[in-house]
Amino acid sequence: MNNATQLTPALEVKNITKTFTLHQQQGVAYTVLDDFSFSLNRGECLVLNGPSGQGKSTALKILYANYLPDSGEVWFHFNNHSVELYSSNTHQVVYLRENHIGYVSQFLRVIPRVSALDIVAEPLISQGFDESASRDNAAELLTRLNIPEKLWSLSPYTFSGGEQQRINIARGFIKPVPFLFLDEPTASLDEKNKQVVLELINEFKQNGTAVVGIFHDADIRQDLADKIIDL
Amino acid sequence: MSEQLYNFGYLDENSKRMIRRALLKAVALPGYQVPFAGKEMPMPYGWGTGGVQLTASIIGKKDCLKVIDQGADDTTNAVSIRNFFKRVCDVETTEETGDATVIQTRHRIPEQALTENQIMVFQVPIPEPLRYIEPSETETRKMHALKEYGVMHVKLYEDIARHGEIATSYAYPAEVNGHYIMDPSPIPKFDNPKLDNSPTLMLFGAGREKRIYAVPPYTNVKSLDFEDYPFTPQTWTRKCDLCGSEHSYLDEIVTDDKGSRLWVCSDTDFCQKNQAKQEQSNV
Amino acid sequence: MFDFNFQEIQPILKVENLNKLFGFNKGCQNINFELFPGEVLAIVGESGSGKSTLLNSLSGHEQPDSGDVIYHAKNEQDYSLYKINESERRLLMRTELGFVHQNPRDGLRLRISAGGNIGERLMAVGERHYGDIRSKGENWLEQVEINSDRIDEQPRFFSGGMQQRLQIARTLVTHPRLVFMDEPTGGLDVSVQARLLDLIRQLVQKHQLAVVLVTHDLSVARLLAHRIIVMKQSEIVETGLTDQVLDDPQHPYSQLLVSSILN
Repeated sequence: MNNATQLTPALEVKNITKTFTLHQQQGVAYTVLDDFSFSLNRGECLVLNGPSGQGKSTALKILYANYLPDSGEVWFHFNNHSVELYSSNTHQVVYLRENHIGYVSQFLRVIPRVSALDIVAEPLISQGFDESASRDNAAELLTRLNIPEKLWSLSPYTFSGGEQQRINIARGFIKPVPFLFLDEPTASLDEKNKQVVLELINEFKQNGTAVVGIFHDADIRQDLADKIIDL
Repeated sequence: MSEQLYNFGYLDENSKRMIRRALLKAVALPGYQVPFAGKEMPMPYGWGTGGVQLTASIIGKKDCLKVIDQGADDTTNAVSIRNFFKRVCDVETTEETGDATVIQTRHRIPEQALTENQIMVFQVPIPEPLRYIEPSETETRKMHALKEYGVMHVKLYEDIARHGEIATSYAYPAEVNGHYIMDPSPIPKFDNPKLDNSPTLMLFGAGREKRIYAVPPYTNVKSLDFEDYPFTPQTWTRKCDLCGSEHSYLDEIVTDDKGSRLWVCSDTDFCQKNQAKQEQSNV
Repeated sequence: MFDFNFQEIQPILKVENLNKLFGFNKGCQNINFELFPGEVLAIVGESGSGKSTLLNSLSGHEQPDSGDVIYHAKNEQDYSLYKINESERRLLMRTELGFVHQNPRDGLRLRISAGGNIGERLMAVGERHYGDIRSKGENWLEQVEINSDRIDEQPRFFSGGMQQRLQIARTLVTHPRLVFMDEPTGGLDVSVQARLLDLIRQLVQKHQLAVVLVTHDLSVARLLAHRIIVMKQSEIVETGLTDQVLDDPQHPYSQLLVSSILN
């Protein structure tokens, strides 16, 4: 990383406000984020901290355009270009997600009939990478995450929570990305696998990825955080 | 003989005029089915009412009429229609292809080459070649107008898939003048090549469905096929048992209850002429 | 990975102020959107909200009262579907566009063999080599997971799921770029639905299809679509990325839809 890139942040969040209006419940409205801002450099990790219900997940989802803010901007800066998430059209956002963002949600969304290996390899294949090379990469990651090989060809439908979560993590880490968003990725993992995930995150950081995450464990927060925002 | 109770040709002059107008349109749009106000004829549908109305509309006092059914002049249907016109027009009739100016037919085109001075009138049961696959008349009309004929090949495809060859052997669809696809009436596909570039005006009448269509003289008529399954007319490995012809359409006739069979020309006039020629040369 | 190489592309379909009403708020009105190549758009909403009317208008089957449907063709030309003549429109509909009906009986010829059904669209665009047509038929049967030795069987003897897969093969054989689907899994058992959905998902990805999909099943939209349009009483009430609309619906009606169907 050279100094020039250090000067411009990788990710800038400006004045995000998010209110949920529950039309089904007499239109009750509550504001979760009010004038939320931060900026993050390449290779840095921001940890969103705070008790549950304070908007950590909401903030993370807004970075991925999964939740729609009332106002504010989310800027993704590249070497050659900057993209503002909420003034881009949907297929531009889809492109950004498919090519530049890794996102690990709390739960794996299982696709019927698709094997664990293919679920993990899919983000690479859909970007046009060679199918068998993509599967090799997926196999490598699953090995690192201690998923027994006999499970690879099965649909994760019947897997345990911890196994499903590791499949989900593998899927999020399969492609090199400049932006990585993690929603409690280590929540249901044992110590050994937590360490693997830590290693993976650190490898991404070293490659210049800007990471934003929510972590249950205080020690992981300590290990990874370059910045902490308390919500 | 003529019974003056009827107008010449049985139909009244206005009806004939209406049919002739439809005929003009049919000739102008080769292969296109022109609707017409078909009349009730003194015979049931299926006995050639379409053809009879066309013949009645075009026949004149100097015409000489030949009527064939399955190639034969002496079957019930042929004899009845011939007698009908003899009675209502008092025109000359013949069984000789060369002498006829109007030939009404069901199932065959004569073997003897036709000329510019003759008109063929075909009796058609189902004029719409797309009917097999598309039941809607609105839709088939549109398909004809826009030349959307993919489904015609579906029928031939099904033939090959089921029988290993195009098994359609009569009413074999053909493209007329590069546009309309027509059902050439239930003639054997053996006769399809005779439609192509023929010097003779070919008129088709469907009485029940009230449609007229035509192939004018010297018009291209191309039988549908696939590149790897080209159109092929029927051929026989044998000759006619009566006249020895090797190039005519043969009918199989069972001659007794012991299974004896004869293969003879379906065109009786052609066969008899051939036999007469051979007798002469034998003398 | 630190470069952003997004190529701005032409939308494959532009819908401008489209209106088609059969009565007060019956049909669809004020419809505007763009669809991009390779993009899957789901139109969701309750029965009678105008989804199917919209689909029929978009796909060339139903002349709108007003507005424009502009298709950007393979040859880079724009075709306003209802301003070009019928012959051109029908040509596009059987080449570059495809339509998958909810009921396979509407999209198949049940008494024509599976191979004939697939081959029809090829023959309609002028293919005249039986052997080629047949081998493409076999290939497509395999692609939709029907054993190719069933090529000569008539689809009336197939199960509903197989009929639907055959309809998809028949639609895709001419390599359309834009496919319209009307509740493609509507009449099927849940177990069969999952298989068909996954098949559609794979085919859409493999052939880079743009798809407009009508469904009332939000899980179908979740699995297949990049983007969602929510319709209510003939109008679009919300549109956005699929997961955004399903996870954070804004409009009261979308919230009702999501809360009543998802658990």
